[in-house]
Amino acid sequence: MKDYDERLNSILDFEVLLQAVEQSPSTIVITDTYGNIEYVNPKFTELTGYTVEEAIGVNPRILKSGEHPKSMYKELWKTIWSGKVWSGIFHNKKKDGELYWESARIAPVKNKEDKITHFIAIKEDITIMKKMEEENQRAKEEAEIANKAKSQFLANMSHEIRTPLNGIKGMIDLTLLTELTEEQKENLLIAQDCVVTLMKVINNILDFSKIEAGKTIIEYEEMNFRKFIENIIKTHAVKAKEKGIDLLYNISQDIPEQLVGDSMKIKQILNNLLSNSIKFTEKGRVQLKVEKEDSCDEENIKLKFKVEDTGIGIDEEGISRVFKSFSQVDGSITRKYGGTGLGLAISKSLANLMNGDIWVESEKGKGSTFYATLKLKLSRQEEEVLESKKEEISEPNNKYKILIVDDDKINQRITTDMLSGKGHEVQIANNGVEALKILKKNKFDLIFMDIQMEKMDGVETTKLIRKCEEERGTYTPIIALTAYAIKGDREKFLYAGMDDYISKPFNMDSLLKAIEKSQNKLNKRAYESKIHVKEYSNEEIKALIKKIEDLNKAIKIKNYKQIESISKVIKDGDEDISNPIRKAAFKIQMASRKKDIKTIEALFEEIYLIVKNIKEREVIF
Amino acid sequence: MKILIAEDDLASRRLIYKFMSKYGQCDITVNGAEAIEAFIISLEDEEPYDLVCLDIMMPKVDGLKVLSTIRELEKEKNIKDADRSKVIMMTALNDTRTITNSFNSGCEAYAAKPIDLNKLEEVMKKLELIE
Repeated sequence: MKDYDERLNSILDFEVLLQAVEQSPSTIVITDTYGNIEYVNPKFTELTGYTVEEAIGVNPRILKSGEHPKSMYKELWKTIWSGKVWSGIFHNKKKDGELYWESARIAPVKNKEDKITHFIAIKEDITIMKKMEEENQRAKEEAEIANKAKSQFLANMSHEIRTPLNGIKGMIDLTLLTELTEEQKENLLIAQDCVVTLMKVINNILDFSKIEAGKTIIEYEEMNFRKFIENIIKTHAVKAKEKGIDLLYNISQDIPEQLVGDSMKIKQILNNLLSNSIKFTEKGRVQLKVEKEDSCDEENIKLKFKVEDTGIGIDEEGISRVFKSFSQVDGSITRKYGGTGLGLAISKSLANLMNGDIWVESEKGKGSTFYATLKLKLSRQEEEVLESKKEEISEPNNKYKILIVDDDKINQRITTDMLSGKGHEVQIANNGVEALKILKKNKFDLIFMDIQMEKMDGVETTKLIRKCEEERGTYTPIIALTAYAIKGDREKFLYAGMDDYISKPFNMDSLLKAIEKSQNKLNKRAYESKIHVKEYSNEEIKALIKKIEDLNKAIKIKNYKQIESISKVIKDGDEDISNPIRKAAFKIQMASRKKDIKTIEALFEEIYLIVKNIKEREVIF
Repeated sequence: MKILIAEDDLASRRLIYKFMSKYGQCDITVNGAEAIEAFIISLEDEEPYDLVCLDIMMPKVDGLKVLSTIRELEKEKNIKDADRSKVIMMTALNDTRTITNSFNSGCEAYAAKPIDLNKLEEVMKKLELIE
């Protein structure tokens, strides 16, 4: 001990200590209590670019980059003035403006009277470390983006991959329906098996990528839960029977019959668990139990699904791997049992999406029990029906100019209030005669017509309106309002030229619906009135005749591809689908796909006559 | 029986056509727009289709839009629900929303691809299209 003190004393020589400070690879700064620099070591000048002369007497704030909030410095001063050590990280600025990171530890120095006399800052340049950290972070983010893009690509590819596969399967199925030798049949059945297996694998991979890409959405739909479970069991019963194992199920009584959940995804999970259990069970039984979990509230219900088997079981190490993607319990099983090893990983992700989880309890050789908890919603079917009805009351998209013809003041008021409340412009005619007068000067989008009016009734008024309109070539939809609608009335109103009728008392909903309906009809009428047989110019007729000749040639040599393409060109010559030429051409197009030459020839005759007709008419004019 | 097939994929089209041609006279369309046009013509000619097989993912107009248009056209013609064309949607899409949308738009049946011909036959029996 004595030796040590002696040695320390010799080291405590000022010169020696100074050397230690001067040689330090860390920046060391000593300030007075005002924060003015009294000492900097060579590392400071080396790092910051400030000379000793420039540094002495100034405040270290010359290093400030402005990247830290004021509160940080406040906190720093508060800490060191209270006699404690402050440590933190600065993003500071060198003399030449370059930014650098340093990790700092600032401590107060006290004299014998416990009074603070100086502050010492010891700082480490950590710029390189910081840069590496940033780069790592960026690389990680980039990798995540790339992974997401990959998954998204796969998810989008789904349709592209499934379509040709479905095609292959379809063609095999078709061929199987024809006369085949035993060998051919066997070969095709094998090919069919392969396609089905491939499809399962691809579907799994696509599902998994969809989940990874965050593209999977849980959709809530009404379902009859008991029936739903029964159906799932049914689909597995065949396989279980084949293997000679019992397949049992039990649904706890306190689970409501009607529930709301994503039946497709729940089915996917249960199918996976059940087919796994059946796959890995050689004798005994597989049992599905559904129980209600305690954690329920007014809206949600948590269910616990239990799939119990008497199969090969899984050891502890296997359990930890079983839910990982692309993994099966071991390689030898992969060969014996097949599969991608994605099923459980997918099921687990799906369960997580439904606020639940999947886990397993198992003992090797004795069997496994898989648990899945899923959150569903309680059905509120009656209320929902009402709600959906409410939604149907659509806000009118358009504001219309509407004439109300009614001789009853109160009815006028009610109808006007309903319509103007929805932003429609309303005018009132107190009787049929007044209506005719108003209509002479004004144009309306729609007329509501009371049927029982004293002077001239609604049917009469409508007939007169239609007569006037016919002369002028206009058309305004008229909706009858009537208190006594009996069978046959509708026909009477329609015969008089009305478009629709509403029986009193009516509500806002039926009124608004009638308006929209009439306007949609009107649009269609406008479209229909445009339909007329196209007037062909001479050039067009020439081109058409040329096409007809080409078509004739193609028909003669029974080149169905050509027939189809030429008739398509003829069809596309006019966008008006009521044009008989277009119609016949389209029919030829469809018949060519079936190689139905008789129909094609008959239709060609039709087109030929029409075109001949047009041609002759042109000549006459 | 008159059958309309709307399917853009050649192999699927061929499969459905070959299968359906056992039961009736088929018209083949390759996109939604054609399907609607064929349907309109059938109504005009007063030879409506007994059965319409619709793919969902098709160019121009998708199968769901075709379905709702068909139902609208029938309504305009005052065709009773019992007399309207039976529609079977055939698609590789099998998510809940698409299926619900299909039924809400008024299809009678939904067949997920790959099409199982035995099941399809059963469905047609249930719809009383065949015996």
